Amino acid sequence: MLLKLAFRNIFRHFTRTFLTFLAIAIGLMFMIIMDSMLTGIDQESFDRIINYETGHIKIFDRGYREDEENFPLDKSIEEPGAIIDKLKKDPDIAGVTSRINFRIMLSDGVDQYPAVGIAINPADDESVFLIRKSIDKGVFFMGNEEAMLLGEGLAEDFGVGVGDYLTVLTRTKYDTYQAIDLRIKGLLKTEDPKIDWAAVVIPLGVGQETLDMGKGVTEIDIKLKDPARLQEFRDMLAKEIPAMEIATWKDLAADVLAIAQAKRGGTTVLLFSVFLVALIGISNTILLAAFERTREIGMMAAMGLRRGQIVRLFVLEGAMIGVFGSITGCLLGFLVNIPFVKYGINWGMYMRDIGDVGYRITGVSRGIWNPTMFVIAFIAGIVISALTSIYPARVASRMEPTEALRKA
Amino acid sequence: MNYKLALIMVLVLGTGVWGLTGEEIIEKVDDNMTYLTGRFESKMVIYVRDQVRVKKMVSYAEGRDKSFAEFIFPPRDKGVKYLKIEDNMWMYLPSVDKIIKIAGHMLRQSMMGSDFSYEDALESDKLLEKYDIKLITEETTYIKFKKGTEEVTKGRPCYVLELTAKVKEVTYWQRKIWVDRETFVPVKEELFAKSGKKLKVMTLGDVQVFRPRRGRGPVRYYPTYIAMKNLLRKDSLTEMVITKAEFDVKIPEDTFTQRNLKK
Amino acid sequence: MFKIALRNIFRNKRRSALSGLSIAVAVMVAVYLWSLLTGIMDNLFDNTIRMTNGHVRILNAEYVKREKMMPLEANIPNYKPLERIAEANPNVTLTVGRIKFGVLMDYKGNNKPVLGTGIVPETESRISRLDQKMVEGRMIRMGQEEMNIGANLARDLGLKLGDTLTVVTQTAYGSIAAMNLKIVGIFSYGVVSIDQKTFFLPLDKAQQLLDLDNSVTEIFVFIKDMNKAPEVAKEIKASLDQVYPGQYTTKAWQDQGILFLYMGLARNIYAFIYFLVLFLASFTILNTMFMSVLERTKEIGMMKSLGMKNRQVMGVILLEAMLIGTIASFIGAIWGSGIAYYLAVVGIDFTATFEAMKDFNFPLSSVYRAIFSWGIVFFGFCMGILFSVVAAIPPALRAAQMEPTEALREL
Repeated sequence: MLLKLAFRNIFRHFTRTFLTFLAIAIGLMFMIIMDSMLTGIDQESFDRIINYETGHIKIFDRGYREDEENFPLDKSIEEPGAIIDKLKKDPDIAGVTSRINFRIMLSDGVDQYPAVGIAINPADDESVFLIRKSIDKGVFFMGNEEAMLLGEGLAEDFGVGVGDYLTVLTRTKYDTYQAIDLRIKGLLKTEDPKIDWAAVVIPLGVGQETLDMGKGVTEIDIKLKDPARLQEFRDMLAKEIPAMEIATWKDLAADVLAIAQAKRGGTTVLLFSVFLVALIGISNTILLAAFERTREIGMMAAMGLRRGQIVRLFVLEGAMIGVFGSITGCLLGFLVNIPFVKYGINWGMYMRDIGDVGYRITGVSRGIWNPTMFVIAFIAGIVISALTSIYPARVASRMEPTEALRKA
Repeated sequence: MNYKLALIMVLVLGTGVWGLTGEEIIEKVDDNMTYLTGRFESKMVIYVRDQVRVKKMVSYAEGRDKSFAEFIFPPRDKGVKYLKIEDNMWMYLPSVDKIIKIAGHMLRQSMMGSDFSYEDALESDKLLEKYDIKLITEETTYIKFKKGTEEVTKGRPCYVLELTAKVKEVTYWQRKIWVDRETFVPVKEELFAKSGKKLKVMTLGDVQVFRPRRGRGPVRYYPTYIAMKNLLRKDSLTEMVITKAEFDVKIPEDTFTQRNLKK
Repeated sequence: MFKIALRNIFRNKRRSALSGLSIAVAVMVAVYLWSLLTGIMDNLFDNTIRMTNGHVRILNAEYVKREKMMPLEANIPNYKPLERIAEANPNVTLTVGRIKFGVLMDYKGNNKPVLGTGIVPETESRISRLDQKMVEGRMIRMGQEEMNIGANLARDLGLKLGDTLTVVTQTAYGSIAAMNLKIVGIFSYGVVSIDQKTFFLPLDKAQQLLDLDNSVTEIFVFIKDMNKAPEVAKEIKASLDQVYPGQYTTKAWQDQGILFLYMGLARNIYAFIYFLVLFLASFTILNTMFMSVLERTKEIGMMKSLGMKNRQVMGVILLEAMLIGTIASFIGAIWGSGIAYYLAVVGIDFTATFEAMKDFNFPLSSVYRAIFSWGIVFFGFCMGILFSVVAAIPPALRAAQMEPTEALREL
């Protein structure tokens, strides 16, 4: 019976109801969108690292990582074949590839500039990394041809383009001087400065031959089907191949994670602020409306409704508006999030130069889908509405019916 | 005896008699270029783009394994000293009174901004150990060098040797050396990367005769002009001119010590 | 009218208070959030730009061609007159010379490329607040053979405060240059590329080290409005060309590094997000105003039956809105400034978070500070009043046009 009354009340004060409902819906929508955007921005930089630099898990020769900065070719995995084959058979692994990272000087005959060489396996690199998809001009190499893919920034620095030659100066595994002239087959635009501004990508076969590595590689890279099972995989691999060093992307990208952590604080404050404003908006609206209904309350008391029932009535009304508001808010959040996730916001057109940034972001930020947030928002909407309705109801219902009726 | 067989034998024996192998040529070069001790005054001229930098130094050497050099000009570099003992090299910087060991990647750096790297200084004396030496031809080669302020071009008959690394741990996988047939002095050396790309070219000229100090002994021919060109650095050339050389002189005991660096 | 408005407000205190509360909270959030965001942006971004590039840089034309190699021989000799030429431009607030050079630090037998920067310490504090970024020790002083080193770099090289580092590099003329520099301070900007790869020494010592008498490799120019950097850069170049035709060139920060590009982007992101929050806040005010006016239909009916004209009714309502808005904004501004102040002084401390991450001894500036500014507070205050009044217009219009009888009948 109370339910019916509550229902009728809501529609009687339609405008008030509507305003409250609107406050809830908009407030929740904002929270969802905000969360989506902020988390999306964070996620972006992790994704970039995973897709271009680390994959999910890397396998190294023991001792390689300690000396990582010096690209020690003598600490390589000499016979990676067996491990790779085995990994490829694992159904939970989305992709396996191997690489050689080596230090080079890039020269156009006039100037030399230090860069990083990455020898990738043309056959399976794309099962883990996005290099192949990031070719902005030119094409990917065919098999193990003697050609290179050059980061766009480097190309700009040297004033070269597709079809030009550059000399790659490096040392073999045994420290013998090596120099090869390679034709630029394509330019890479990954938006990861470590590649665009510092990397030269060549086919693995060419790398192995040039560096006298035989069949060796410096790392094996793995992409998982379910990234959440990271630790589990790591532990399993550690047990199966104890002679090697296993590292997850989190291990490898510790510095970026740190900065993300730091930014998390700012994000929390932002979200909290949004929440606060939404909260005030919702509760205020409810309180305002409720306090205006003192006369109504008086009448209800006069009609015989007990205090407890009145309170419950209000709470019910609040909850119902909350439900509608929450549903709409979540729906709105859902709808508005779609373009955010799909297209993102294009921050703009400053496109240029260099630097090695610890935190990687792009010109476009996309939102993400966070179902948890939807659930939280939904529940919050209802709870806030309901709870806020209690107070005015109790206050008003305490009054003498006559006093209440007299209020204008 | 079969006529043909006799002819063949003569040819074979003949070749054995007057033809030298690659190794033998290098050995002769070594004999010529090695000394018990030596004291040199030299001038290094570095051309980089449009700059010319002149540095002067005094150096001492004992056999192949030990050498000590001190820069005396320009004032900026005065007092900078280098010590090499076998495969180790140290540098002393007077401005900070510090001895720095040149090891690891530092060896790859160029010395004083020249076309010579520290590595170059360390490795050139192990050719027989590390390379297979093949004599490929003989030809007259022309080299240009500076004698005083003049530029001189000389044509010399040379053995052309091709050296290919026989161990993995070498800096230059291949080398090509032109050795003067008469004086057994190397006049040109080309250094290659493993891919076959030519990296550096060294020219040696202005060969002078040095008579032995104590009357008897072989006459020594020694090049007093060495030019090194790093082909990957445009407009870049380094010249080393030995202005004074004394061989087999007495050198004080403690010259080749780290202590001497600090003195 | 004023009196009526005032009486209306006090007649229903609770309603006034509630509407006011919304506004106050909205203003409070607007104030502290903007302070915090400015603080974050300033700390991470503006400072970095100022420190690594300035707003505009003056460089030798030859230097720019091979900038990555940091060619010391393409320097700016006798640079003071150039500073003066730049300072003649009305947009310019400050100029300072710098020397940048690459050093290969010997680290565990391997080489680590590091950036050495010769700075004028006193000016530097005004530019990039280096003095505030010190994690340990103090800033360097001119004339002393000392250095300030990035926290990560110090950690990587295993160096502590008080250690002396021998810096070995090459001069412009190919000579080997070395200097013993005592670490008198360790800094952290919170930006990896700076903390991991940079050290500072006094400009005069850098000049001595590198044989760059009275020269610098670049001049940093700071201007009033950094967004105008490209135009000012052009202007300065034109002035320089008059005295030194074709010798020097200028670069605005926007053209400079991906670092700045990203920072420009980040600023946009923050501004956008702030705008979103502001939007929500204004919506809240709007909503509240609507609600409160709605509730007063009876009052409005009474006013009308008393003979007040539509316009007057609207006037009263708007006046009320303005009064409540002013008081509420004032209160909100006070709350906001209190929080902003707290955040500016104490900041939000993440040291605990960092410690929780294993393998993490990152002396990152782990405290987020807001920038306290009366300007921001005032801005919030004004916005609050403005929004309150504007928000009250639609419902006021609606209310004013109601028939008195209709209004009176409303429950």
